[in-house]
Amino acid sequence: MTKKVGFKEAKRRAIEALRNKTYQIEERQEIETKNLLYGNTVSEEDVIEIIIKCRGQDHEMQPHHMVKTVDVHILRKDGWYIKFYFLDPETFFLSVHR
Amino acid sequence: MKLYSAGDKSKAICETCQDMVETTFLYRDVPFDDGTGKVKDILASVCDRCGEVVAIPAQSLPAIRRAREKVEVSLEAQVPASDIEILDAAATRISERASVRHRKFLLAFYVRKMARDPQGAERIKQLFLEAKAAKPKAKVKVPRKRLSFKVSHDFEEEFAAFAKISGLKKTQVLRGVVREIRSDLVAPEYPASLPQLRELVATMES
Ligand SMILES: [Zn+2]
Repeated sequence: MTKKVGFKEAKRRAIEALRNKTYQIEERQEIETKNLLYGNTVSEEDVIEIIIKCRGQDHEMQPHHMVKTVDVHILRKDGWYIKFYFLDPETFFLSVHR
Repeated sequence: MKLYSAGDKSKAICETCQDMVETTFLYRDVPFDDGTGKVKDILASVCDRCGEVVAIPAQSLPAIRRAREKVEVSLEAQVPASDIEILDAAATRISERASVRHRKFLLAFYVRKMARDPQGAERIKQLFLEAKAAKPKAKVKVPRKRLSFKVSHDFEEEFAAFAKISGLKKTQVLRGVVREIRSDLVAPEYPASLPQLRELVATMES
């Protein structure tokens, strides 16, 4: 149902969704204030800059804790922690933390 | 950018249903998870099965950020009166109508600049030590005064995080920042940052 997306393709699509502001943020009824995308101190551009810097070794993939068929991409770079997944054609961010 | 309209369909993963679900974009009041209130009437992705908000589209983020900005907290510190004089002197340099607002603007500007600088934590420690070591020439007592600002929640968090990585108390960070403002903006005859700061203030006030 969700096709496998490798690191390079995941990176490209995450950047594209941030740039075009076509992403969504997964929520549990409340706005998770720790997610930096909701704040005023971090912009989409800042997050794009971090993602651009990520290499293969900064990337990890895990099944979504509720829907195991969905791969969650995890990026760790310079103290940033960014998690996202795709439900075609949408890109969902789970966390953007520092 | 693609904008959703109320009634549009999408999908998401729902925590309540523990499943991938069909969703509909609807206007909802969505609370902040830290108890600081809620954002009224934003477009959200709502689970068709259980009716809970399961995702927020990017287009609703500016409204959330504005709501977040309104949540203000106060930042207070006791500092030597001379620190306040430095801030006031810097404020009169960046605006002819200098007011308390400009003190806050200057502190916020320099705190954010340093917090984003990889060497910022080391630098603020150094600046604080300099500020602490600076004694008046004669043995006079410099009174302490209260510095108080209303700042956004986000700024407070950035400020607190910066204090933490620097290993300083918030008052100590403020004193270091004032020291930086003194050498960057007050002491030089033609400060390099002045044109940029005046431009920012003029834009803010227009
Ligand atoms: Zn549901």
